[in-house]
Amino acid sequence: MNSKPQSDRRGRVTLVGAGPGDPELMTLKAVRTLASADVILFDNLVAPEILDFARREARTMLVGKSGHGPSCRQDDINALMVRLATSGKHVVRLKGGDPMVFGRAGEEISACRAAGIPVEVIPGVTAAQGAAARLCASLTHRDHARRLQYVTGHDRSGALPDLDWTSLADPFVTTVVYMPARTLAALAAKAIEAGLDPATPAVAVARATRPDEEVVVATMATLPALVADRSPPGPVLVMIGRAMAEAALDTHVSTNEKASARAAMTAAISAVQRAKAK
Amino acid sequence: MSTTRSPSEIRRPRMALLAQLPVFLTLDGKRAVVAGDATHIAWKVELLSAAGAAVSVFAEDVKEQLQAISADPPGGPVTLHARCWQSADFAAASIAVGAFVDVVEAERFATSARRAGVPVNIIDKPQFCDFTFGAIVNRSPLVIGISTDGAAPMFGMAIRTKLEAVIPAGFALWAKAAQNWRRLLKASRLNLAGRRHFWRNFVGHALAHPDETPERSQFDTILAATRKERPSESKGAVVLVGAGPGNPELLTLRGLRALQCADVILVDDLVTPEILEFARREAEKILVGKTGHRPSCKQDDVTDLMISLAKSGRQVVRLKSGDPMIFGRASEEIAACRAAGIPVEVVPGITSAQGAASSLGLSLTQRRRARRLQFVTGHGDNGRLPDDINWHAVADPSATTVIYMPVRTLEEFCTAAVRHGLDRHTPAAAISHATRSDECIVTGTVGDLPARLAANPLPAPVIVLIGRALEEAEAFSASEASAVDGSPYPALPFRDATLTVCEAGTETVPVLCDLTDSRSAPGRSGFFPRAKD
Repeated sequence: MNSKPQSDRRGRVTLVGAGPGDPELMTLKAVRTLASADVILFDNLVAPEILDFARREARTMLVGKSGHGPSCRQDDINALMVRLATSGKHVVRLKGGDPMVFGRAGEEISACRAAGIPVEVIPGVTAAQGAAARLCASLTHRDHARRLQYVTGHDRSGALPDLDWTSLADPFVTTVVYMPARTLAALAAKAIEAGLDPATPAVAVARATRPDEEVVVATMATLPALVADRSPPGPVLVMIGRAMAEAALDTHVSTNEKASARAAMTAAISAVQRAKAK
Repeated sequence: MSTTRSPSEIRRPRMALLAQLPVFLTLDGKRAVVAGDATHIAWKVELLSAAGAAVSVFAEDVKEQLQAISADPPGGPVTLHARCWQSADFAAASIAVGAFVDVVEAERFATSARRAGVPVNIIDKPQFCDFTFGAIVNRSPLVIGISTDGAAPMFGMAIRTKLEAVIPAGFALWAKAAQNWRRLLKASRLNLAGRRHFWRNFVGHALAHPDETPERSQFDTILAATRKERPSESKGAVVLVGAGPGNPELLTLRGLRALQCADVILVDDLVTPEILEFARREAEKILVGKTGHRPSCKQDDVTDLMISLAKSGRQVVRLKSGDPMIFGRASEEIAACRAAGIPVEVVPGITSAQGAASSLGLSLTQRRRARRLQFVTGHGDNGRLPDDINWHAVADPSATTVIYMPVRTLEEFCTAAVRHGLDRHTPAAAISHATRSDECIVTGTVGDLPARLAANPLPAPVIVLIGRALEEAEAFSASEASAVDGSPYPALPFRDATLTVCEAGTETVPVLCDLTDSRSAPGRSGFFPRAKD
């Protein structure tokens, strides 16, 4: 329509969701886009195998956004992205999970728009969706969860954010907490104080869908200590809610403390059944 | 509840028209006749020899290039005859290729060849050709031919270049190994299901390790792994696959693979039909008609059908729009599989909310405006607004709320949300067919969206997004040609941000490292591993 002659030379930015970790959980569109990128800016959270989809000539740059390690400043990432695109490159900004769900995509999209650079977003499977699939535990089990919510376990300073605790205490919600490792005990205490049943099933998943995935199945009351004991490396997410009782049924959950987890789960399941009976 | 329907098999659509039929000719030891202008035929002579043919070349002026090929042919022998071709030369030939500037001569050659029952190609003269040569990607015994039916040979070449890049050279060795191992596998006395299982494992291994040299020991390893999975009990399996929001490209690689392995696919109405194109043509596709508002199959019937198909030994894919684990009623189907002892796997999918967020360029957890993202359904078991919605959670101004199946109950939903304290000026949008080419959107506020949507009904499936994250209004305002409500997103009376913003914090040192040269990741590589060059 209004194609200007220089538009051929203008670069663009695509924010791509890399999915939860397993490269097979990338979308076809994400794979195709990676294969056409000139430069790929990626986070620590992206599984390295995923970069294999890139062309050999593509530059890949780690922009080091991880939960707790030192990170690049968001402004620096934005500036780099805009500079590369302005020089005519197709820049792929590759993010773990879905860029639009706790991926800080908003800031990067704004930066591109402000610089007049075309920007596109390709969604990705979130870690919670990946983990739920592996555990065969529906996030919205119709008997146990009428609502699904995602919150983040740490704000920009690393502290527990001010969440709507009442909505976390709802017995009919599945809550997914991103990056909770350091704040989990405080989060559990607050949620229980707001009325969440301490026997509510809670599952921690580290490195979801990767070959070295680790799963801890417990209850809201017992999970923080179990996770602290193991302090698993890599990204961790926690899923809380009665729907997670299903995770205990999954045969591939064979944690060390299977017995104690099972006991906790039995309690949780009977709590669910009591609630259903009401 | 209202009427129900039963699962119905989808009549296989007639195949789309083919410009040409790709066939692969076995020429090993067969006679090929090539004649005409020496410079033009040289490459075809080499090609036919490479395919194993005994090539007889008839050219008055046998150039150096042809002599070189004849002296050192890549495959079958190349015999040069320094004379014009004759009708008798076609005797016992399997294929004929000519290059003639003169149209009369070209036609004479083609007619003679056909009279002798030999299929013929005249270079650059499609009107005389029985067949054409495509662009070739050679990983023999794996061979890929590309044709554009003469429409755009350059396009064919470009596709070839792409394929060359994504298909590792090592696939040739794996294809060769497959050829050799076929006999070994037969001797292993695995039954049909077991052998199929073996090949599935073989393919998985080859795709993951294209650069390994296949060895006999790997055959044993793959066979042992296959035996361990005990495929001989001809038990089927069920895979619940999330089809994603609509655009077929938003299917995952794993989902694609599951579809390609399926014997039977049970599919909902809401799944984009194009996605079924990924399945094998022979796969049975059964519409199990779960929709929001139209009559549906009973869940029990769907589950029973799924179990009985899997019990009969079939690979069943249950294809659901979005993600099976998010308002997809997966738990009932998983429970039924477990109860029947049938292996079940779930492949997640992109939800329509995620799809919509991406196509609108809208972060669902916009840092300053949304700290919580929640999904609810507007449609209870009885088709009415569920009576157990947590209105406190919905009314939270710092949440983004996604409502599934919202249309019928939207007015009631919005009224209740406002009654519980949600600002009626909170932005809201209804999106239909998110990520598909016919995606459309109606924007407004919690206060006026129901009326706007009633005035501009959208085709199902529709989702509604609510929350201040939508204040990223640029996505709506400017130029969304797809906005169907006629009025571009209005100057909404959004109030200034009153939320506490978590901005404080320690900034750390930027770590920008270029990994271009240290990329080769150990372990498994991707689905389309990079070719070695």
